Amino acid sequence: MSARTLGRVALTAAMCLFADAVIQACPICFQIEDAHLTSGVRAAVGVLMGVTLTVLAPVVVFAVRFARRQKVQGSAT
Amino acid sequence: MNIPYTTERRLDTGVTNVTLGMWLFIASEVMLFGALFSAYALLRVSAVDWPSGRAVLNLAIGGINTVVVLSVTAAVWRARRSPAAAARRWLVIATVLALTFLGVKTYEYSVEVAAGLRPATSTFLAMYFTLTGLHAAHVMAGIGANLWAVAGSTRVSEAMTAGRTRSLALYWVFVDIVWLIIFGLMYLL
Repeated sequence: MSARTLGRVALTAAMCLFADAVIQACPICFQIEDAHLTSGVRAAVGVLMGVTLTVLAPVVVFAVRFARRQKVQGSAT
Repeated sequence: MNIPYTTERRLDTGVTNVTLGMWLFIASEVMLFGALFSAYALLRVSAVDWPSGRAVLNLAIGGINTVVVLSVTAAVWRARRSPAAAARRWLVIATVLALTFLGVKTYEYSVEVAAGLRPATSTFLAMYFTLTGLHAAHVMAGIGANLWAVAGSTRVSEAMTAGRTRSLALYWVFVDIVWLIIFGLMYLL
């Protein structure tokens, strides 16, 4: 490991250990959990997760059925 | 070149490749609109003040367009269950209805812009124009697909046209569902 890389690692470690909590805070809410923006981000993440799961659930169902059909076809031939 | 499984079902997937392709396309479109609905949730919930759609937009025009877009799907669904000649007729009717939707939407936009309601006016209007504009683009694509299916019906087999119409029916149901969500979020809430 070069001296430069070592310096970067040391600096990052020092920041993690000694820096003020605000520096490490979430860049959206800055630890203000009851802010409007925080609620908005939570809602947005909820909607996106809902949509993603709605799309992925049929994909999983299809994959399972596809595998079963292939197995049935394989045993028939 | 003969592409396999365009009219007959594959045993392993249970559907034709045309239908499977349409389902995959719809899944990608759901993610596209899902990202926009997520942005809507972020902007709406984090906004200190959010106007009511009833106060800003014209609910009557939105309601008319809801009926029109539902009629488009009904017509394509009818085409799906009809023999070739009747299916062509229903697809043309659906296309005319879809053009009506776009005409009404254009009128609505012109009234709003004349009243100073532009995308830059507020976050609500920016979201409204983005969502309805993208939906209108999908209606235009649907019109193109309808006309392509009608024009192609004289060149390809009946089974092929039936497969295309089935896929179009799926697409228009998707366009309908998206519109109903947009109508609920922008006009009613």
